[in-house]
Amino acid sequence: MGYLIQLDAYEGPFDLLLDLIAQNEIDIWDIPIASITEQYLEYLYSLQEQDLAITGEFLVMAATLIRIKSRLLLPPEPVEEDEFEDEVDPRLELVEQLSRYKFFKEVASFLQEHYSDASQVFTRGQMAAPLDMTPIYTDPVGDLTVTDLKELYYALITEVEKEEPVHSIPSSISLPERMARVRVQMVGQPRITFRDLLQDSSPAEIVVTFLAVLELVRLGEIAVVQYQSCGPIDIEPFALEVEVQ
Amino acid sequence: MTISEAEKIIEGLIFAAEYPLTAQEIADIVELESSAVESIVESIRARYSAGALLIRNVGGGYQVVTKPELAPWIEKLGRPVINAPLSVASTETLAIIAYQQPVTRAEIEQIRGVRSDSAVNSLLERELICELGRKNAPGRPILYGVTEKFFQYFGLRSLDELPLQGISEWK
Repeated sequence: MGYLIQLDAYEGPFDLLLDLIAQNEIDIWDIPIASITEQYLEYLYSLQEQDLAITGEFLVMAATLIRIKSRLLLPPEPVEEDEFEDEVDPRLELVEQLSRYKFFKEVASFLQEHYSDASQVFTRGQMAAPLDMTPIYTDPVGDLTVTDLKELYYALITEVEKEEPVHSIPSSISLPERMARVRVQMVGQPRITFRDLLQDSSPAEIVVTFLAVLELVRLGEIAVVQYQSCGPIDIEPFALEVEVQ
Repeated sequence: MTISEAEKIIEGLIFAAEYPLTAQEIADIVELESSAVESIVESIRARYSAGALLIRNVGGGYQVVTKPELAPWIEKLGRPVINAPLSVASTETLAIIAYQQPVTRAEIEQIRGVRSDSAVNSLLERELICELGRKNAPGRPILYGVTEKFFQYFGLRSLDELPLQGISEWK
């Protein structure tokens, strides 16, 4: 016999039990404990299979159900003759809790219906000024994928890992010299990237190269374009067509 | 004071008050019987029928609100300050507090069968419930009850409007 178990989010063990009772169309005052317990545990197993955490409350209820089930199986304790104590149904306490919870659940849905009516009327001062929802970032990542990030990371890492020379002669480079070098590298190229200019550069050289590029832009010799934030910076000879017009 | 003068004053009072004004509060100000106030409010209501506003009974008082059919337009004005919907857990917790108040968190949890501290905290934050002192029991736990805002939030006149069916089953 298979059970169709809906994996709704339950508010707690009572909620789950009430749903099982509703699904089985049984009377809350006459619960077939064995079958309900089985279905209840089935649900917990299905949670486990999905690696969902089962909170303590659900486990306590499982224990309660199993205890009730076993009490129902045992023969009633012999009652002494002068005691006229009624045999208390072991399900009674649980059923009382369930019907009490059911009542409040119904009140909660009554309140939610009232809310949907009440949320249609407004008092003065109830509407706050609209929030400014302009995003602070304009998509800083753009169309970058994880693969792009990986490639960029490897590109950086290989540069960092280059071995330091054993001896080095500090070289100084002037801004005009660097500008000249950029001009030379641009010859015959429709476009180069800023990174192309940085082959084997020290941090100081990178700064000078950057300043050189800025200077060339100021002089109107080149144009720089960056299509996305943090993307490659393309350097092109200044568009001549504009001047021709 | 003529009836039409009283009508203007009462309309002004209900409009200006930031909370639902009870017939008795109005009666004390205009020095009339509260039953007279009630019938004057009815005639203001009749006058409002063609307009954009209505006077609703909420938490035992009167409050001027916009008519429900205007909601789609008013919502375009901005965001409502108090009106975000509650979670199921919070609504259940609130239902229990409304009936059982003053009630402790442990009593709520016993009925719901699950921990309810986050539901209680969010209701406190939204001022739908408040603390009503402490219970004279071990640990002196905090007692909770519903607030004025509870009635406004659900548009209820009083606790009598809550359903009673089923109460006898467990009380």
